[in-house]
Amino acid sequence: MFWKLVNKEIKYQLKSITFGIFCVFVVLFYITQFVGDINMEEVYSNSPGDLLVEGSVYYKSNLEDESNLGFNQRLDMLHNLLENDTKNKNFVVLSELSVVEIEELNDEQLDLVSIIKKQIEEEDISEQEYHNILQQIHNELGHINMYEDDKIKNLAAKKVLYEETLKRKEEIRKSEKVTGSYARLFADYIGIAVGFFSVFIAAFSLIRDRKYKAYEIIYTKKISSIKYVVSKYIGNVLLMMIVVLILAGYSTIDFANHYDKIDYFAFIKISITWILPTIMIVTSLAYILQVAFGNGILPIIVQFIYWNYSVPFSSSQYNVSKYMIRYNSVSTLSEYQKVANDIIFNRIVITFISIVLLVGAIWLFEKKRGNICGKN
Amino acid sequence: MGKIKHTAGILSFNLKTLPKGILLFCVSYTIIIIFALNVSQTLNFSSIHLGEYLLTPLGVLLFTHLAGFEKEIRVYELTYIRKVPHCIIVISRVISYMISMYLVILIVFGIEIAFGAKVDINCCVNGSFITALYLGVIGMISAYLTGQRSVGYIIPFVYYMLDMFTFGRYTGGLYLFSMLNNDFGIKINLLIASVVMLILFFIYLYKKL
Repeated sequence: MFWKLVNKEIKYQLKSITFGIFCVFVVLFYITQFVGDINMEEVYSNSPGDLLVEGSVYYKSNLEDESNLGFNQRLDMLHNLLENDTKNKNFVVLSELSVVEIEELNDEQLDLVSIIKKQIEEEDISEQEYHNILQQIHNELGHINMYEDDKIKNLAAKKVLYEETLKRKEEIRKSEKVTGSYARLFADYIGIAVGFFSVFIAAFSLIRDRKYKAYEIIYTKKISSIKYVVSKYIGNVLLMMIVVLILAGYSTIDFANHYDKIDYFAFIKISITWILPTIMIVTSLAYILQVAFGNGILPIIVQFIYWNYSVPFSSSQYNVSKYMIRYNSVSTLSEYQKVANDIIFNRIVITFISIVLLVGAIWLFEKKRGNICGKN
Repeated sequence: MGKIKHTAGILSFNLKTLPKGILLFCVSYTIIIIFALNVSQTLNFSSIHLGEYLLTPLGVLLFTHLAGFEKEIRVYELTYIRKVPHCIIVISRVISYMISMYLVILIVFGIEIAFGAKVDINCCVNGSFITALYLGVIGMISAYLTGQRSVGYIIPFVYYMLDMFTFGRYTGGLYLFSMLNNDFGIKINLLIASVVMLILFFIYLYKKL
């Protein structure tokens, strides 16, 4: 009987327009947000640093932090530039609009660049000497070239950033098998979508019987309130989870097509541990509110306010008062481990609260049912 | 004079018959928002965000049930054969709810000003009202056409959420939250779209019955 009811609820929802729109929205959100954020080549590609060493293109972002750069890093960068220019027999010229052009070094310029390179390799250069060298090359090359302290600083910072990025990518490839990191981003986006839209599936589930004036029949049926409410609950949660799991499965296949070694269960695991509690709490809250107030609109309003409270990033992001997990970055395992305990605790508490609310909904349903049957 | 009295009578009777719960929920919703923003400070929204993100769903909540109410409580056999056309009744409901919604938005921003917020009242109130109306009209029409109130709620919210996260990439001239970019021109588009949808819907109701 119980599974028949679950089956019935699933069948009802599958036929409903609301569920269709729910699926369309979740898929749209997945495409526009998660797919839009993935760059399949990113984890393997060589970013700005490589191009920087080749000397042909200078990355123009200004995200680098130059404040912690030491003199040695700047000197090292100057050496890199000199080495690069000596090898290629050219140097970078920036136009007034910062357009990058390459100009050949003449013999005199090449000699100077080679001598200074050797000097840096063989001697201890002081900061004053470093500035003098820069001035000397800058004047010799003319134009707006890269031999200025500000530009060297920026390039050195880019190199640091590049090396850090390489390390992160390596860690993502090795310890997270790529999908581990992307699964968290997936859970973030899908969590936002189902964290609100689940309420439209759940908010009318129990009061639908009132609308169709079927509650006299249902309330006097032999079936227990626990079986009745839980069957609907499982029907709703299961169906929404199936949608999430289909997307998780699709993402796994997509990553498997691009990478050799991935964690095949990363998306599935994160869906069950991060997204399932979100769906559960939304459904439980919708159930208790609709049974208590006999209205499906109230759960939508309450959920909307709760969603607005939980979505923005804040310092207390994983506080148990927030019912969904925001994790909007492709991070390494060590970065994730800093907040892992908070997230696990949040998920356990939210699951527990969901069960308590469901028990409350069953109790209220039983009470109302008792009145109808004239028990109380 | 008699005609006005008659129309006022119809209007007042119709408002009485509509479910009071929704109005109560809307009032509670606005009270919770004001409390959360100004007293408990659990929500961190600027005045424009308040209007664009938090007050616009009022339209969905208030308008969705307006046209399909009779269908829902299954008295449409009676409604559809009455002397006053159903579309006139719906028009009267829409107008009265529009006025109520405008007043609610005005009051909320009034309270915000009282709490010391710097608000461009003209822009915020009218802009929020237009977006709320636009979403409400979409909700009302979809609920009526599908006969399911939940559809009337979910469609405007899908629009709302997608626009919130894609910043109007797919809706362009009908972007819901243009005031965040200091662009009031798009609000005029939304207003025109709402009026056109309402006119077409009223014609549909009139022809159908």
